[in-house]
Amino acid sequence: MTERMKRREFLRRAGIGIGTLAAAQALPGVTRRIAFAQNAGTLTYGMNGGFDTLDVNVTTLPRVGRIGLHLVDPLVWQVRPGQFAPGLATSWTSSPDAAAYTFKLRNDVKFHDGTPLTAEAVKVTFDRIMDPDTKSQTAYSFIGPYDRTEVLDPSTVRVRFKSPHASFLDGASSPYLGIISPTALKKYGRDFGPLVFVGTGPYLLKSYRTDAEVVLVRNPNYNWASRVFSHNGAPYMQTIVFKLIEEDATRLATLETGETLFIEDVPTTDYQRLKNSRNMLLLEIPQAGSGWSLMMNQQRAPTSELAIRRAIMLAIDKDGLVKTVWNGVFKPACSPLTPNMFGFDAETCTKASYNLDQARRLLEEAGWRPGPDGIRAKEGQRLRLEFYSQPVVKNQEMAAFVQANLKQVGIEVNINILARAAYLDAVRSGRHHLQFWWETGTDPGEILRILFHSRNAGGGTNRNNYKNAEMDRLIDQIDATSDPAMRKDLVVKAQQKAFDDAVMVYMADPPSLYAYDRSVQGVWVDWGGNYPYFYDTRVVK
Amino acid sequence: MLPYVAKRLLLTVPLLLAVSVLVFLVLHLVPGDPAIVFIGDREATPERLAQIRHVMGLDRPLVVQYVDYLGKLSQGNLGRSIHSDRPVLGELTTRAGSSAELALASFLIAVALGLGLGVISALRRSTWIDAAAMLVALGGVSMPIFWLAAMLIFVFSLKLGWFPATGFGGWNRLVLPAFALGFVSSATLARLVRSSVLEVLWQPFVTTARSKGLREALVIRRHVLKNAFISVVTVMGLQFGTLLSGAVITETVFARPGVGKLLVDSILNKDFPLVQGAVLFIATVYIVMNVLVDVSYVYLDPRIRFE
Amino acid sequence: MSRTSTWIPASGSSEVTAERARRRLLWFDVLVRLRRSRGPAVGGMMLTVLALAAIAAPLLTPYDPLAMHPADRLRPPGLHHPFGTDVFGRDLFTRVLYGSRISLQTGLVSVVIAVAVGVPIGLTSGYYGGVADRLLMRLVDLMLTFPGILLALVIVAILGPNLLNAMLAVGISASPTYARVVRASVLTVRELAYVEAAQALGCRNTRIIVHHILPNTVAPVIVLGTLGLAGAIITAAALSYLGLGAQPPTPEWGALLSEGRNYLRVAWWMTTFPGLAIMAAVLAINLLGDGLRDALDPRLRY
Repeated sequence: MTERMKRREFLRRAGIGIGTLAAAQALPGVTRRIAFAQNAGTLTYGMNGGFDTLDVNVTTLPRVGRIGLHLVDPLVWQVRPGQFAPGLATSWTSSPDAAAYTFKLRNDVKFHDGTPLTAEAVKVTFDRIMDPDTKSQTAYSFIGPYDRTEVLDPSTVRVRFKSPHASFLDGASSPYLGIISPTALKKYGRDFGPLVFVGTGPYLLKSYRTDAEVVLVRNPNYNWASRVFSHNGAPYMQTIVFKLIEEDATRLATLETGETLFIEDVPTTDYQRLKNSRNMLLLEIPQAGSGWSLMMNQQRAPTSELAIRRAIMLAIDKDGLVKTVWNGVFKPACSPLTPNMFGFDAETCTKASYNLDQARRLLEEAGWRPGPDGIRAKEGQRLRLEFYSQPVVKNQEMAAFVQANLKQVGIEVNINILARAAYLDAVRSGRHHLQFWWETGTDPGEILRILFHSRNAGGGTNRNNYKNAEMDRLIDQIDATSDPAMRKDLVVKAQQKAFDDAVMVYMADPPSLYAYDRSVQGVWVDWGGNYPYFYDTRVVK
Repeated sequence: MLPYVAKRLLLTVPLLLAVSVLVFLVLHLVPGDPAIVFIGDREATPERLAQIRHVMGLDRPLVVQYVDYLGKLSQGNLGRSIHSDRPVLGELTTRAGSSAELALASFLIAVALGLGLGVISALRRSTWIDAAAMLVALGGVSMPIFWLAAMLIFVFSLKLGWFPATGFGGWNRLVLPAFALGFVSSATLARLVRSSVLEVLWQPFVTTARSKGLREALVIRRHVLKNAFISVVTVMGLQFGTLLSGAVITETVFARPGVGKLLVDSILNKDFPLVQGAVLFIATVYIVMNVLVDVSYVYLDPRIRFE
Repeated sequence: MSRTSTWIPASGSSEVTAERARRRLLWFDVLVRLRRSRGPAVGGMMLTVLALAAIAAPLLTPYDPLAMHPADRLRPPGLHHPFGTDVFGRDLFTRVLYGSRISLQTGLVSVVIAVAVGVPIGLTSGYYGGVADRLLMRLVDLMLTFPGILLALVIVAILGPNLLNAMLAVGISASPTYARVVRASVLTVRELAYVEAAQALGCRNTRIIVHHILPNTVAPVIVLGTLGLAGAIITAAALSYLGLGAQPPTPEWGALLSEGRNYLRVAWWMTTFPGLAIMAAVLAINLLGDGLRDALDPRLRY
């Protein structure tokens, strides 16, 4: 009897379980947003990764720039390429040689600790970025050939450079050169940055855990918004929580369940679904900077050969790549600059096209004959290239695609996926033949310098290890010239030269993809698509 | 018994010291330079790199670096993370809270499921109930946890909307990850419980108890279970350590901070103080659990005594 | 010692022969019991099918696991593609099939490494005792402080991520358990009379270890090894999932899972079938291992 009862009990319970599952499947995929609704005054943002530090003057990551833009104010805001609006500075002039800039500051601005903004603060901020002890990263490269800052009076400051720096305003409009409080810096010393951060921005830093979340709260005293924005005074949202959710699928899921209201880096597989969605809006902004490209190490054979590099450029099917890996959302690239950048040369796009036969011919003429397994060899040396990447799923997909493309013309690509430390060790010491690159930025001179200047070769950002005196000259001149027409001419020349020298393969131009709940209104994004800004944002239920 | 416990706990100090030396040496085998990791993909001339390395204290000889670390450690200062410059202790406590929460919840689920399945299948040995229970248990052991985690999120978070998929804080964020982890751990436990109970069931004293006319349930509770618990306790003691620091994948999929993830990330970043801090924490927990397990033997098996 | 292994003094001969006879009977008994009980039989059959499929892979499918056909991308399971296709149009059934080769190989190699590292440590530690024992066991304890996956991750971080290093990492991280088990086994046998006799006779230690002690450790090592095979496959898959194991375009099962994780909504088959494959293989191995353990356990012979 006990035996039978136990069985009946078991079957009954099993039946309930299966029944529930079946019922669940029958329900439409309607999500219980009510279950996870947040306070009306909170905006939760889904981030695609962690960060090194919240100190915008120090960080290397654009993600931190996004958070940081809410904690600090820049001197100026860039509303359109090359056009600037007042930020902390009400007006500014630059010397004809672009080696000195004078800013007049607002006199009604206060830091989060209550101290007023003065010219001294600008000097302290910039000097700090130059200080080696700060280990500043992106800010350091944006500040360029900085010499010193002169405090002319409490609300006037002059920044001097050792050589002409035409892109300084562009850098000054980024979060990385945002102004920090000298008083707080002196008070907290080493803890300023890691534990505490004080700027003038519309939000205060409440708390953060480097691998989980950052919590910002409204600055009630904020009253110095730039005229770029639609209101002045304290921001509408009480709290912003930046949550770290690295898994793409999970991050998107949180938007659908209501756990987050705004996410970055929307997976392209879900692009169409989100476009058609009634509850969620997709924000697609062509990203400014340099799209996905394949860098080829010129300091290592055989990518040191021009013929090989030209062949690689011809062998990669960009349309196929964009369609397969990026679901057609990205656009094929043909220049180191994205199309919305100043000086983008559309002509190079007509030159670089997918041509397997021509690639094979180039390799044959260079003496690389196919071996028994289809892979080419020359003088006993197999045509095998080492490709390095970090374990990011999309990178791995692109790598697999490139590998298959190059196999068709007889080039063997060996893919090495390494964790960050080992990866950087390998590529900075030049053990690679191929690696990917992608860069955000709004100034073409800056981008070209990062990619092609010999100063950045040999372990820096120029992983092409491309050292060419003429290119260097072009790039230096771009930064030294203020005349837009001359600048454009130089930028075009640089792109053409890069193409002729077969430096990099340009693969895909990404849009910045954000998605958010339709109850979120008033989101501002900079023209480059890099920094969503929630000062004017409200959540309307 | 107290002197035994005290002696064991005292022995942990030299053990931890040995661990820290080992960690120090092994970490220098990992390829990579913390200064370069810090700079990442940004520009840096060799001079600037040298500057940064100097600021991080990396240009001193290894022995000096280690001794300096020991000195600070003896004063209770775990140092600062090379990467984020935040105090290591702070980094540890925030992660430890989240990991502990997850480990505890999974532990409870694993024990409940494991004991339940194991006892039922042992008592109904060779029936279809036994087979079904063991199949479920086997399923748990055979399933890759990242798959289970993704499936759980898909069904319970997206489709049904019952639980949030990510984050830390509040019991509803704990349900899905704890279930995933608990289910996989329970499987090993279930099979072990089954064989422990079976082992005990055939012993003479059980037959004696039964022949004395005691009710089945009483027999089970009083004699069989208690004896089966010994091996269970050993395994679960070790399992807790795994649950605490080995839940890296679960924590990644569910976007929770955790000690395991901290350890892996800091190793890959070659962030020496953080690695040391995490390792010392994990080792301490493991040692304490071991002592607890040994102590509990005394209550479970009267045959065991300590000199 | 002597030149032949059967030269033993009269006082110990009957014990040794009896021991040997008992051992042979044990193995026969094990086989019989295995065949009789259902679980291990099913497991054994599944495993055989998997192994055969792995070996015969090229014969079972016309597709190349590495060839990309972007026109056929993301097809659901159907007539031409029983498991569907992945993001590059590669047939998933083919990739899972070829993946079985890699996963099974990985599992076997990892277990072999674990045994090769762990057993000698356990033997040395248990037999010689003293300082060596304490030192080795401290090392083993140290390694056991960390969960297998963490240890494997650290080793791969040091050696560099590729499939071979992943096998090494999984093997080394699993070895402490073997050391422990073997040591326990050795300790029980060490005190037996015939071992003492052999020692008194001046037999070389290595000979004693290999001929008398090692055979007694075989049973638990086999059980551990069978179950360890399952664990090794899962850990290797986990490493590949994190991007630190098999490199693209290798169709290792964990790597296949990783490839599919962003496509859960649009292509559920990319994760389901590799996941099921892992489950099937591990299930089969566990069934077999359980059966072996039950069969080898003298106490369950009723």
